[in-house]
Formats: sequence, structure tokens, C-alpha cells
Amino acid sequence: MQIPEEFGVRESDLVEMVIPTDLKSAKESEARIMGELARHHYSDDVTFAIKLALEEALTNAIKHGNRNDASKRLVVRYAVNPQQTVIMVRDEGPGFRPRKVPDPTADENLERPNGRGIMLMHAYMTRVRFNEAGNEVWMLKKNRETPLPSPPRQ
Amino acid sequence: MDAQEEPGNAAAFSAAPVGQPLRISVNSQARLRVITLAGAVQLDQAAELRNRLVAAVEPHAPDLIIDLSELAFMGSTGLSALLAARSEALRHGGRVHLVAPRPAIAGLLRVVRLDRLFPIHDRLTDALKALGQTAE
Repeated sequence: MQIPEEFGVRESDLVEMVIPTDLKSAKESEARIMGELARHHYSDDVTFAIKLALEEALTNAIKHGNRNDASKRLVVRYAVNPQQTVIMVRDEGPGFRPRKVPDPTADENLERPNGRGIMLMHAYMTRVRFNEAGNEVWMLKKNRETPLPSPPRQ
Repeated sequence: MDAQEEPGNAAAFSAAPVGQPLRISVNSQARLRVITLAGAVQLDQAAELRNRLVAAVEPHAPDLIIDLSELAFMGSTGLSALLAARSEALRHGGRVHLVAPRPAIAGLLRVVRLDRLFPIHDRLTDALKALGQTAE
């Protein structure tokens, strides 16, 4: 899948990480992205939203996409600047149809232990796009807070 | 990305509320347990949280109060842990009440409508009273 045009990033803006299918590696990749948010002085609320959506994407990719198969890899790409954050997560699974996921907020589904990840990504990010197969998700979060001056990059 | 910047960035994140590791403490009272969660439920800590919450439900003291006042972050895996605790409590005739979630966590509970399943109180004393207990 190509970068969604409306996300406003180019290939050259993106940092790519290829990681094993495990929570430790996912946590490390998350820490790199969260570190970038901290460097750009993102607010606590926006940081909460991005961390939440990223964890849902990573958890889905590990658990449902790669089915905890250690021989498979995840690809995480990201671009963080003071105005917005773009994150892509891709797994090696067969994918799924996001629209087929039952509404976790329906009364009959409230007690289900799982199934909230996709809904939360949509709720907390500005835009979410899946590829046709459903094994790659692109997420955009606009940083609506007025950013503090960012230190110049070395 | 400039690799030399990464340690500083990671350190900045680790120092932020949502970057803190989860801390769990349990206060046992005669007929219930008060669990206090602090820090953030990190990706690799949800299973531990689930196990600790479920283990805190005992047949002779099946009610749980989960104090969220010091919790800065949790995702859906953390929510699943709360649901597992509730399921275990119900199995033994108990209840799970939540106390003082921060605005971001309260918002998360509302978004997924779990505020319909978990009574939420502003103060621990209110939760104790609702469960027929007094502070010890």
C-alpha cells in the first residue's frame, strides 16, 4: 500500500523498523516513537492517544496477524514532526476485514475481553487507513496543541 | 532519525507519566481487596496485571476495589484485565468498583462504554461505602 496521500508525508520522511514478533521488540519500537513525541513536546493527551493506537496496532499485528509466530516480522514506519505523527504497522498475516469486526460498544459485546483495538484506533487517531488485505494500517494524528519550540536537529 | 538523539528521547519518554512501568499494590481487608494501580500498563505488563487482579479475587472476599488515581495509561489489554477480574468476581458473587480514574482513563472507559459495567467513584471511601465497607 502506498502512503495515503492525505497523510502528507513522503517516503523520505519515514523511519522504518523491522522487528521480531514479540512484545519486547514491540515495546522497544514504541519507545523510539514515544521518544520522538517527547522530543517534540507533544501534550500528555496527544501522547496518550498515539501510544494507545500504536499499542492496539502492534498487539493486533502480533496476536492476530502474525499469530505470535516468531519466524515472522513486523514492519513499523513512522514520521513525527511538531504538526503531526504518521505511523504504519504491517504484519505478515493474511489480513482481515476491519468492517467485519463486531462493534465492541454494542450492549451484547461489552463483556467480551477482546475486539476493541480497531475501534480505539479510529476513536483516538485523526485518520486510520487499512490496505485492501487488512494486514497494514496507516494512522495519522494531528498535534492540535500549540507546539513548544523544538530544539534544532543536530 | 539521528541515532545519537535516541537515548535522550527514550529517557524523556521514560520519565513521562505514560512511560512509567506499572506498579500494583494490594491492600487486603476482611471482605474485599483494594488494588492500587500506578504508572502505566505497558505492552508487556497486561498479562501480569490480569493475573494479579484475578488472583486477588478470593471466594471469601470476592469484592474488588481498583484505585486508578495513579494510573496514567492503559490500552485495551488493560481493559481486558479489568474485565477478567470482573468475570472472576462475579463467579464468586463479588463486584468490582473503580476509583478516581484520571481524565484520560475515564475518557477511555467511556469511549468503550465500560463505564456501564464498572461503577466508578470519585473517592475510595465512596467505593467502600457502596460495597458496605468502612475504611480500615
